[in-house]
Amino acid sequence: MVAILVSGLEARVVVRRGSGFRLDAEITVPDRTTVVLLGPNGAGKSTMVWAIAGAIPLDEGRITLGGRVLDDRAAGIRVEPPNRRIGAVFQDVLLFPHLTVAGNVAYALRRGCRSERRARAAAGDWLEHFGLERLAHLHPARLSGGEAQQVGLARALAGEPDLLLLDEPLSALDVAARGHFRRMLAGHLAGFEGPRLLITHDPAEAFLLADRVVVLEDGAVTHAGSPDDLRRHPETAYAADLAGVNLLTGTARSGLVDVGAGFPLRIADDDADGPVLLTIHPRAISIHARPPEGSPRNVWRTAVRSAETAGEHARVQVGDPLPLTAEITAGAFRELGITGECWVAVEAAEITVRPG
Amino acid sequence: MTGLRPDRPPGAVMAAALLGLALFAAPLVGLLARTPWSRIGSVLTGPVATDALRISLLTSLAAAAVATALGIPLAWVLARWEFPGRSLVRGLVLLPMVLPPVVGGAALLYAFGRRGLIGEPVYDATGLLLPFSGWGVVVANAFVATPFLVVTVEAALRNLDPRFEAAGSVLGGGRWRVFRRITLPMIGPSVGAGVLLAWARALGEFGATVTFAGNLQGRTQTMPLAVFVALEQDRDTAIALSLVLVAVSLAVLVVLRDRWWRSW
Repeated sequence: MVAILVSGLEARVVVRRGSGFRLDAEITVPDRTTVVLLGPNGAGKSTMVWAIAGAIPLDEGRITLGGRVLDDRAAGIRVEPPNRRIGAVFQDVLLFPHLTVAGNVAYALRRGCRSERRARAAAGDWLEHFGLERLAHLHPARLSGGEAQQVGLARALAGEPDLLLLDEPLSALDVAARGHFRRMLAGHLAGFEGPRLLITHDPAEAFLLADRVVVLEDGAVTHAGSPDDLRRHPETAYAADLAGVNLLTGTARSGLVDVGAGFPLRIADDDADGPVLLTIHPRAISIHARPPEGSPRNVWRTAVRSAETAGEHARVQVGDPLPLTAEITAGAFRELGITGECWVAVEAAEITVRPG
Repeated sequence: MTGLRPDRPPGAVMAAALLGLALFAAPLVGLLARTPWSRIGSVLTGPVATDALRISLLTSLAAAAVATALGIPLAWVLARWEFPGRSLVRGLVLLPMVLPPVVGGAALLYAFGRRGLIGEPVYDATGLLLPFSGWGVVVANAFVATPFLVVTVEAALRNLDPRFEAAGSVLGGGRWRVFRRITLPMIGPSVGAGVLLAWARALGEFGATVTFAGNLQGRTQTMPLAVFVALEQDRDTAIALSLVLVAVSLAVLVVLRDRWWRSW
């Protein structure tokens, strides 16, 4: 018999909780791919992570990693967590408070059955590789949120894992630190050869880091596909809400942001400077058949690319020079009688600005 | 809430509180007033006192070691393992905290005495006898002291965020390594407090010791037993040894000050 080598993570996870909550989700993460598990609080995202890691037993299901069976309820197979070869950045990072940064990394390095002393020496090299050697002798309580996250990531990768799990890796950071850390994280994710599963409740993070997005709601997968796919065909109200959020990157200077549209967008924050991430909620965008007048808004001329009505609402995609998704009432959509040319207006105050 | 001060307690409450304070302060003052300060050095170096000090120190330390070795695993099982009858087991383990020590000593005698349930076959087979020996003192001390360590450590284990241990496991640590490198260090301060508390309790043990191990000077006579005997014959020795016990107890309280109150 020839063994079939399957790469990546394949997991079907069923976990019941006493409170009547039931997680029943299937997820596939190919090698060299970042799948983002996106969902509201309480959807079962963290349960999914701990179940894949082996810390929560499955009620049903099967998990394979690189063709290795980690869990198979039907066959009675269950690999202990330390033998799964999984690297994880946990929610709240969970650095061991009594160990130094070097001690934390050395702990994970010992997976390769190294002696304590050799693991310590290797931890120094590893921290240097991450540019964190200056923190080696500090205890976690002395680290900033961003430093703790970086150490958490270094620790997760130290054990040469076959799978990388990241549970809300940016949530502990203040807004200013997120952009920087997200870029760093993207770099490390790209350098990791195995499957990468990242969990977040923040759609902006999801769209920026994901190759594929899986939406988890109330214990069940409601959508799986590329970020674009999710934007075009959201299947639940929650997904639609996520999908519609318009994300733009650009460079801010004195209240104006260059987003590559040929004209700058006016924002309410005059102090933002440098790379920024803009989010515009679809309901904050209005569409007009004639040039609107009055208040200081961002207004530009464009064309409707596609539109669909769902009940009371219409989702309208507008095209170049700045493709966006807008949500207007179905009534407004009919009244406008938009066929082609239109004007888009966005209040400066409705544009959320975050450091890129 | 800052700046908001509760009212001064009513007069009757104050009076009762002062009376309560007197209940604790008067004996201490009485002891200090009768202390033969000029002779205390020579009294404490006398044969009865030195024997008692030596035996007390050795047996209480040994009992603290036994309490640690058995109490931590017990606390771990009680805190982490759900099994039927767990509260019954916990009650059994904590019983010596409320049981009159004399009763505990008698029970130990019926278990490990020469005619005891376990003691008899062990004696017949090996000739070893626990009661009326130094090891008997250690067993009696451990019997009354271990529950204090179990209570403290179990509370600490329950308060420990289980995600740290799960993280330690996911990151490659086997059960033993997680216990040794994560669990134990994280509850370390509570273990320290529990050991200190168990040791202090062992040091002051009287009832179970005298019942199970007897009162033989130089073999099983610990400080509390020596104090009791000396009260009849050699008051100065009794007072001097009492002062040593008071000093040790106060020192333990100071060290435990915050930790013990909080863990309750």
